[in-house]
Formats: sequence, C-alpha cells, structure tokens
Amino acid sequence: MHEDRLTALAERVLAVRLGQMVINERNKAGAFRVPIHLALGHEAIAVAVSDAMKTGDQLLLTHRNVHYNLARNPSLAEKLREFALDPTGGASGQLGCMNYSDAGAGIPYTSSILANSLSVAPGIALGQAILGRRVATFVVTGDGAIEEGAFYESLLMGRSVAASMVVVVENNGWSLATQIHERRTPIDLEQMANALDIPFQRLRGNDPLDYAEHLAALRDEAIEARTPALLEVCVNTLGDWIQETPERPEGKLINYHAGIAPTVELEKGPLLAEDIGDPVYVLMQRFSTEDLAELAARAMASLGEVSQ
Amino acid sequence: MTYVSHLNGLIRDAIATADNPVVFGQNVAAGSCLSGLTRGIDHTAAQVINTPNLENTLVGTGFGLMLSRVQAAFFMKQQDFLLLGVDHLVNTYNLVRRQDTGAGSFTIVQIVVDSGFEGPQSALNNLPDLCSLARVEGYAIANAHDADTVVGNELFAPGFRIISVSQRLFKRDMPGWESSIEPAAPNAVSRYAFGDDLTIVALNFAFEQAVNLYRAAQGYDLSASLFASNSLSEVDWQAVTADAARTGRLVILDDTKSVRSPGHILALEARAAGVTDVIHHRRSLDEALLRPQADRFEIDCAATLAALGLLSRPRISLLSA
Repeated sequence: MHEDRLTALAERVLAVRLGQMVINERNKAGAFRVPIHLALGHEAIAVAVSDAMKTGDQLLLTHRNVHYNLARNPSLAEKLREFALDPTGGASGQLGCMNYSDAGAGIPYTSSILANSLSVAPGIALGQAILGRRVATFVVTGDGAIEEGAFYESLLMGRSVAASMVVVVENNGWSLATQIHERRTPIDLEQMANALDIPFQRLRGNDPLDYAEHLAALRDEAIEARTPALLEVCVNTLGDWIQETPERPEGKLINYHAGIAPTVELEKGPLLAEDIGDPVYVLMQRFSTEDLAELAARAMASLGEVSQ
Repeated sequence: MTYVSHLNGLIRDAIATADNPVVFGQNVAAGSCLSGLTRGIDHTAAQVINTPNLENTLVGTGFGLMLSRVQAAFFMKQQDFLLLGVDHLVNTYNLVRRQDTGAGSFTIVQIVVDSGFEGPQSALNNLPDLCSLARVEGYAIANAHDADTVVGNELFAPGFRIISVSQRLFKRDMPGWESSIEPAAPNAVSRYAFGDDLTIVALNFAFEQAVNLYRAAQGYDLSASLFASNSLSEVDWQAVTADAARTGRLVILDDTKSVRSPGHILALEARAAGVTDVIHHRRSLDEALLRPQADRFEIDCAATLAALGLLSRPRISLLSA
C-alpha cells in the first residue's frame, strides 16, 4: 500500500517535471509570446498539494503556477495551446500563463500580482463555508510575497473569520534577482503562526509521500479547527546557469526566474541536479534506474498526446 | 427622515430580501455601526462580520466571496481607506469580471468624509478616479431618488460596484424632489425639471447646490432644466447635451476633487454639440484644501446666472469657477 502510493506520487512528480521540460523546449523554439515561469524543482510540493485536495477544495495560485496546473490536470496539450493563446487552449487562449486557472480542476483564481491571491483566499474559504461545504481553500505564495502586507492581512483575516485555509509558502530564497539576505531581515514564519495561533509546518527534502501526508493532515486540521494553517516548504528553483560576460569572464550565476531555462534539455532526461533539491534525485534514492525509467515513460504518456 | 436613516432602512430591506448575504467591515455591527448606516441589521438574514482593519484583504475577500457566488457587501468607514485596496479594484476585478459568477455579488459602500475640518488627509472624494482605473461601476447617493434606485436595485445585484455616501449629509434630512423624475434607474442621467433658459447638471454630491441654483433662477423669473447623475462611471450624456443645445446654456456642478470627472467629458460633449455657454463649477486643488477647513462646495448663484447673460450682464463663453 505504502509502496503503491509512493509509486503513484512518483509518477506524478515525473509528469510535472517532464511536462515543464516540454514547455521549455517549446519556449526555446519560440512558440510562446506570453511570459513563462517554470517551477523546475517545485514538483514534489505541487503533487502533494494536489494529492491532499479533496472534492470541492479550491486552490489559488501565483504567476508561477504551471507545476500546480499540471499536477491538477495533466493535459499538457491544453497548456501548450493556452500559452500560444490558441482559442482551443485550456482557458480558451484568454489567460496565457501567468493567470492560468482551471476551475474544473479546482483552481478558480490565479494572480500574477505579488500576494494578490492571498487576500482573495479568505473570501473563497468563507464563501464555501457559507454555502455549507466542509472543504479547504489552498493558496500558494512565495518567500517574496510574504514581504507584502497582504500576507499578514490574509492570515489575520482567515483566523478572524474562521476560514479553513492552507497557505503554502514556497521558499526558494529568491525574489527576482535577489536572495533573501540581500533584501531583508529573516522572517520566522513559525513565530508568525504562533503569534496568530495557527498551525504551522515546515517541509524540506522533496519526499512526495512525506509531503502528501503532512499536507493531508494540515488540510484536515484547517477544516476541523476552522482556521488557516501555514506551511513553509523549502524548494530549489532549478534551471540556473552560468553566464560569461566581458566583465565576469569567470562566469556569473543566473538564477532562473522566468522564460527559457537554456541548460535544461528534455533529451537528457528528467534529472537536473544530483542533490535533494531536485525531487527527481530524491526519487532515484527510492527506485531502481529501471523502475524510474518505466515510471518516466508512464508519466510522459499521462501528459497526453502533444502535437509537434 | 435623515439621510442616514433613509439609507439604513434601504440597506436593511435589501439584506432581508437577499440570499443569505455577507455584510462585513469594521464596526458594521458594533459601536455606532458606521454612524448608523448599518445599525439594526437582522443577523438572522445575513452573515454579519465585524472585521479587523485590513482594507486590502477586505476588498480581496469580497471578490473571493463573489467568486464563490455569494452576495457580499463591504461597508467602509471612509473612501481614503479604499486606496489600500486599489490592487483588487483593478487586477482582481479584471480577472473576476471575465468569469461567470452567477448571482455572486460584491458591493463596496464607502463613506466620503466631506464634512470638513479633517486636515490635509481623510477628505478624498475622487471616486470617479478610482472607478476609471478599471471601469468600475460607481454611484454617489445625493438624494432620495439616488438612494432608492441605487441601493434598492444594486446592493446585492450580480457583479461589482462601489456606492459612495456623503458624511456631510448624514444627519440632515434626505434631499428629495417634489416632481416626477425620469428615468428612475441607476446608472442613468435623470431629469428632475424641464426649463427653457438654462440646463443645470449635478454630479457626485452637488445636488443641493444644483437645486439652489435652480431655485435662484426661478427667483429671477427664469426656468431651468435640472439633471443629476448618480453614476461616477461612464455616462450617456445625450439627453443633457440635447437639452443644453436647446437652452443654449449649461451649468455643470461637480464637487469631486478629480481632474477627470464625468463633468469634464460632459463639458466637451456639450461644446461639440454646439453649446457655447458652458460653466463647469468644480473644485481646484489649492492650499486651502490641504489644511483643516469646511470642505464645502459653494456656488454663487447670482454670479453664475449673470455670467450666462441671464441677468442682463455681458455673456461669457466659458467660465471655470
């Protein structure tokens, strides 16, 4: 049972990784005019959130949403067409990438404005409660957005109106081109959660089964206690590269933020980094090379037919 | 009946007929209940939530409720605070408005602190500017007709809008009108009177000043057409410009501090329709507005009529007071 569940989650992690790699290849080929924000390295948390969501749960996202959208609805062709603003895309070619939402997959709202979704989430959660639904509203944000006042406001609002929310903070240590230590003092989210008397979890290690179990428990707690719950998850956004310039002939690290990840190549396979910052590397510690290759093949098939 | 009591009755009636609405905001059911605006709401007919002071998130929450197809009204003490939620007025609304939200509804009812002596802050009355950012429907309640048509029809109607009420008027009798008003609908320019010598239009909360000018004209044995618009958004001015083309004179009374209010568009359209005598009474941002003062919009009626050549004085083609 335990192994079956891990296998299923692993396949979904690989699907989200491979789906993003296909999107990256299409982006390299110039297929999209809209800005694409990949989330390579964020696959485990996306799969775990999707796994924890039950019927009627809602998920609100940010501009970096492709991993969650793939986890909730693996149809890659819909995304590719949407990003090309094709009327047959998943959102009829009207939203592009940064606002891509999919109400049928439980994603009613995706905002490209920093911290914007956080303020909408208590309203969704409150609305669901008023309609008598015993469900949770998940909202994803990043370590840059928690600097905005809306982060604190939404937690306080959610706690004050007994909103069953799970706030997921993807902490990759970066906001655009600055790392946390370059722009602000550290923020201890556990202490913030304590101050507001809300449950808190911190996850790291990219184990999808571990993540899924914690998410499921946190969701249940949020519903049972009618409270927001706060989850901080440490992620490494992969796809960085070294850029050589006349001023920096030794090369300068370019952190991946948006657009093409030039060093990521689909034909080299899904592994991008040989450390636990890469969820695929974590899977390699759990599965044999042969089993992982078979899972990757199934994952690729789960994304559906993709036209060339 | 006072302005605030009249509004309070309409709000309570609207809540009673809405489908399990949510009414929220700071002190909506505590203390003075926003100076009586939300007093006495039936808690069995609505979810009534006294909220923390989180204007940005309160606006976002309203849109979240609307997305959940719930009917929601956010009552806000003063318009200045709405500046903290502008991101949602634009960015969130632009996403929500393209979705089918069914009967979902979100209305912000905000009090304009125009009672004076607040100082350089806390006296914003530029709702047209906020509405313009994302073409939001906006209404000002200047009299009983506005209250009945806007609150009665719009408070929990599907979609999003902002309704603006005037603190200056709260304790005064609700301004009324003795004759029929056509059309009796929100978001319309309503005709209050038909006359031959000049056309008067009231915008935002300037109905009182418009009536004063109308009465003053009668005192000089003149007859005026009187219009008022409760909309602070896009307005079809055709009825007004046609009337002004007939009378040959147009007076626009506009007490917002905006430099891009609907009155500016009306002035342009009237001139394009051949009306040469256009007076646009409006506020100017001078030093006096940036210190405690009465914040009153005052019109010299006799001087206005004289400037239009109606008191046997030289006519002036355009005057901005």
